[in-house]
Amino acid sequence: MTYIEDTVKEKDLLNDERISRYMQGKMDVNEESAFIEELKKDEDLRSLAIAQARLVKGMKQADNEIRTAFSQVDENTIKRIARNVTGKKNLSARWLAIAASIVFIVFVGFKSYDYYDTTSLGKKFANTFPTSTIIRGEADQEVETELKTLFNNVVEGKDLDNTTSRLATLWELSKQETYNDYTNYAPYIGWNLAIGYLRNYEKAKAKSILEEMELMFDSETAIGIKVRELKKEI
Amino acid sequence: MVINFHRQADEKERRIEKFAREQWQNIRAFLMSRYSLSKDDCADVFNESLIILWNNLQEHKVSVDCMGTEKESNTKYFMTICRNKALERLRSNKRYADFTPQQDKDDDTIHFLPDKVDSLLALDEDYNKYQDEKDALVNIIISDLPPTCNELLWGYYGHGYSLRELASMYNYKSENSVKVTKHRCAKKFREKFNVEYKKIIKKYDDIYRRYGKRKRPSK
Repeated sequence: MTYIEDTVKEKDLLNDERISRYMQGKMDVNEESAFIEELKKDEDLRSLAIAQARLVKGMKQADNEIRTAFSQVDENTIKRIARNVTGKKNLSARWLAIAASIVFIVFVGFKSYDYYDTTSLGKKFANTFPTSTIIRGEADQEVETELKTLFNNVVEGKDLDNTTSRLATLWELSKQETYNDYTNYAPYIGWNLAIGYLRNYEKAKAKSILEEMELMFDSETAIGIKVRELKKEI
Repeated sequence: MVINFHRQADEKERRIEKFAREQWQNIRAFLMSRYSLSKDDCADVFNESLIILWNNLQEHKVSVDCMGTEKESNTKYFMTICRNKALERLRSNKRYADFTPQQDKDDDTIHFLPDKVDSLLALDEDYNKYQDEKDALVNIIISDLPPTCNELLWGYYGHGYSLRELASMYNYKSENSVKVTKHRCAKKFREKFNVEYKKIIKKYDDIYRRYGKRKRPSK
């Protein structure tokens, strides 16, 4: 049943052709008037002709809407749409992307080099004042144990975030005018803090500590000599 | 108000982008097969041609017939621009110096006359009723046709390609195969339109019955 309904007869194709010729104005007067008479009588032909006329009109309207849309956007919008559709970037954008990539690679390269340089410097100076020579078991045991752990962490590059954070607090305590448990250890707390910052790739903080130490310890002292030497290398 | 402006701008851009995407599929295949252009060159031709189309539409350079209607659809007009741009590129590019493009066959564009189309529409017994709804319905159906019907119905009734051109463009065995498929597609369109149109009529009848008014929503 479906097959029979779907079968296209020669007459159907002929009618399509006649409808198309009529819409193109290609019929002569006699043929046209005969066709119009037939349209009035033949419901199926009429309905197909109307459907095809609807297609022509609807598609023309859709075409006009696109023209209107084109006339209401600027050139940059058209360029952007074209690039989106074809997936092709314009030349300047492409060069810009290449340049940005080069800058990025150079930046990453520089950062990697700087990181290596700074942390190596920290490593090189880490054992300048060995923990055993600083902590001799002469003061408060609790204080010494903590300092020993913190200084060893700096030497070994362990838990640097927490270590430098604690050392920064102790550095502030040790600098206080009133004498406290950390006063005698101030030069080594400051030194280890600066080294810890270098090993943790915090160059600016390390510099700032060394500048402070430079003012505190003159160039004749062992710590003063090393502070200046390290600052010069940074 | 600002939101509304953005929505309108988005709608325009969406419409242009949809048009451009459809064109890119066909134009790329056409330029590659007809002129053996590389994909990169196809993209350049397409991008330059879209700007020319925009420019010509802005400056009203699109040719019109004696009735004041455009001779060619946007698609066909755009294809002409792309073809000219491709030939220009072939002539100027040494890479294609030895290439001889196939001759384009004579143009046999179909032009439907608006007065004839209107006279057929006037045969509709509901001709003066629900005109906006009918237009909207046609718009919805033709923007969502199945791929084969989309190619043939838009190709023939929208862009005015001849049956011969359609057979060649979409690899049909003969013009007759195009005729048969196009006929089936037109019939499907008619059936879908009638079904949906009846639903609209029923909806309005229900509203009228409920409120006891007999007023048409639109003319």
